[in-house]
Amino acid sequence: MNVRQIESLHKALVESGFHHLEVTFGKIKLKLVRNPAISDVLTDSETSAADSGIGQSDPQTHPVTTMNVISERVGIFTFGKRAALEIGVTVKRGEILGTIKGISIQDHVTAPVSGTVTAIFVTEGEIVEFGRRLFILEKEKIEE
Amino acid sequence: MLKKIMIANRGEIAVRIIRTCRRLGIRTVAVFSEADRDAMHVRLADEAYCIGPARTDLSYLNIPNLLSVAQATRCDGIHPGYGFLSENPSFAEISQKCGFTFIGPSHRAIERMGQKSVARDIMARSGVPILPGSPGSLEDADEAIAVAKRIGFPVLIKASAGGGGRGMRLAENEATFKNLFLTARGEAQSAFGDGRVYIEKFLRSPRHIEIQVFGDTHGNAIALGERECSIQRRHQKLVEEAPSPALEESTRVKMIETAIKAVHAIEYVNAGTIEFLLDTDGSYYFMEMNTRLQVEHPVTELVWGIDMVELQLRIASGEPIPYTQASLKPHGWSIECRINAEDARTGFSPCPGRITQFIPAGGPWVRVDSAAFANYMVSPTYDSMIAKLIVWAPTRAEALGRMRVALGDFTIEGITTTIPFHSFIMNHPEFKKGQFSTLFVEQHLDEFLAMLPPIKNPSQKENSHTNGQAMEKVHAARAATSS
Repeated sequence: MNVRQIESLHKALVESGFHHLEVTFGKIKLKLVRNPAISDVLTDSETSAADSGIGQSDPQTHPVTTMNVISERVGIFTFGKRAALEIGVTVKRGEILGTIKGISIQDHVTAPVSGTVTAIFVTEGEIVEFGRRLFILEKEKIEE
Repeated sequence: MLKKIMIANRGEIAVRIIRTCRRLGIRTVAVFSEADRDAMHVRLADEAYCIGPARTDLSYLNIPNLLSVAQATRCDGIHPGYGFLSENPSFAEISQKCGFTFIGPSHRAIERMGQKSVARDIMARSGVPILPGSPGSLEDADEAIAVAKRIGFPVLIKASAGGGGRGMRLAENEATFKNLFLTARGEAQSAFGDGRVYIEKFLRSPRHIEIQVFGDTHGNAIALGERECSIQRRHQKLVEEAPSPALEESTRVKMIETAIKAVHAIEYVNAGTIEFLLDTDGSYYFMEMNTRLQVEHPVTELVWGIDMVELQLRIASGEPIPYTQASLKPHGWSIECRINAEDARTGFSPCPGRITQFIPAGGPWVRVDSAAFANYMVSPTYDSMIAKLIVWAPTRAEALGRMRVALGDFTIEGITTTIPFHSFIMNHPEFKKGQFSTLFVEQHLDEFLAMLPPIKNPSQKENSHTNGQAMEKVHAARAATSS
C-alpha cells in the first residue's frame, strides 16, 4: 500500500460523505475515520475519533441540549406503555419510548437522557430501518 | 410462485435479480448499508431498507437485521445473490426455519460442498474424477509430507474451508513443504477460523472449466454446458466464455454426464457450478462446487437462451425444471469481461472513487450488467467489480470482434478500470487462438505493462479504444518478427 493509494482512499472518504472506512490490504489494515466536529482526520489504528452520532446526540445539526433518538435495529416499531407519548411529554433517562420488533429480537428504545419529547418521527406499526431518526429529546437543564 | 422476495445483496447482482423479478411480477425488497443509500438496487426495488453501516459484518452479513427486514415486509423468499451470505449454511437454514424460501440449495448441500475436502470425498464416491490428494484434511506436517511424496511434487496445499486463494500454497519440493504447510494452516485459521488444510496434485498448465447445473425438488437435473474461466489472476476470474475453445465434444459430453450424475448423487436443488481443472491431455478433475449463482452466469444464459434467475425462482417455488437435457441446445459463443475499478499497473490494486462519466457499451448482442452510473461512488468497502460486459455472436471470432468494439465504446471516467487490460487480452494472439491456461495473466501481464504510458492522473479518460488499436499493432509486429 503506498501513499497514493491512501490519498485516493482518503479522497473517496471525503467525497462519499461516509464517516468511517476500513480497508485491508494483505496484512495492512487501514481505518479512516471522519471527525464531523473537526475536519477530516486520518488515523491508522484503533483510534476512536468522534462517535458517529448514531443513537446519541448529533452536536452538528442540533444544539447540545437536544438529542436524536435513532434506531440501531431494523423491525416494526410500537410505542411503549406510554402509547400517549406526545410532543411536550417529559421522560426519564432509561424510560422505554418504544419497541422495535425484529426477527426473534425485541429491542427497547430507551430515552438516552431525561428530558422533554420535542419531535416524534415514527408511527405505530411502522417498519423502521437502521439509522432511522425516531425522536428528538430536549435535555433537562438539571442533567447538564 | 413466490410473491415477494428480499435480495440479501447489493451491486449488479441485486439489480440483475430485481429485473427478472419485475418481469415475473414478483415484488422485491432491497437492503442496503449506509454507504449504499443512493445505490441502483435501492432505486429499482419496490421497497428498500437500511440494515447497517458500511461495514459488511454489520450490514450485508448481519443475519438478524436481514431477516427482520424480510419478516417486517412479509417476504416469502430470500435471494442471497453471490458472495456475502450466499454460501453460508446457517443463513440458509435460519431463513428456512423462519419461514422464508431460500432461493438456493439446501443448507446441508451448502455445508457439505463448502467443506472442500468433504465435497471431494462425496464427488469421488459419485464417480466424479478428482485430483490425487490427501484423503481428508491433514493435521500433522509429517503425515502431510508422506502424502505429498506419494502424490508426487508439485502439490497444492489448500484450506478445507477456503476459497479465493487464501490459505493456499504451492509446494514445489519436499524441502520447502513443511514451512508452506504451516503457513497455509495459519492463514486458513485467520481467514476462515478453521485451520484445516488438505493437499492435492498440482497441474502445471491447467484450464479452469466449470459446468453449470440445476436440480429441482422433483429429482430432475440438467447441465447447461461449460464455461471457460481460465483467464484469472490469483484465482479471481477476469474473463469467462461459453463454450470453451479447448473442449473436445467427447470430453464435453462426458463432463455433462458426470455433472448430472453428481447432482443426482447429492440430491442437489437449484443452481450450482461444478468446477473442474482440465489437463493438457484432456483429463479433468473435480475442483469444487459453488452452491450459488455465479458472477459469470450471463455467458451461459446467452448461449442457452435461459434466464437463470427465473429458473432459480421457479425451482425455489417448487416447480419442476421445464426442460429436459435432450431438449436443450447451445447456440453460438458468449464472452464476459469483468470490469473492475483496479489499476493493472499497481498490481490490480483497487481504485475506489467517484465515477464522473459512465457510458456503457451497446449494440446488438451486447449486454452490460452493472449497478454503476455517472456520479456513482465506488466504495472501497466492497468488491471492485463495477460492470460485467457480455457479448454474444454465432462464432468465437465474431464474439471477440464484438467484445473489442464494446470495450472501446465503454466509457468510464474518474477512476481507473481494467478496460485497457481486457482490450489487451481480446487482442492477444494466444487468446484469439484459444490457446491459454490459468497461467495466461501471469505469463503476459508484463507485455501489457510494457506498452502502457507511465502512470497518469486517474481522472484522465480511459481511452481503451486507442489502447486496443495500439495493442493490436504491437501484437502484429511481434507475430511478424517471431515468424
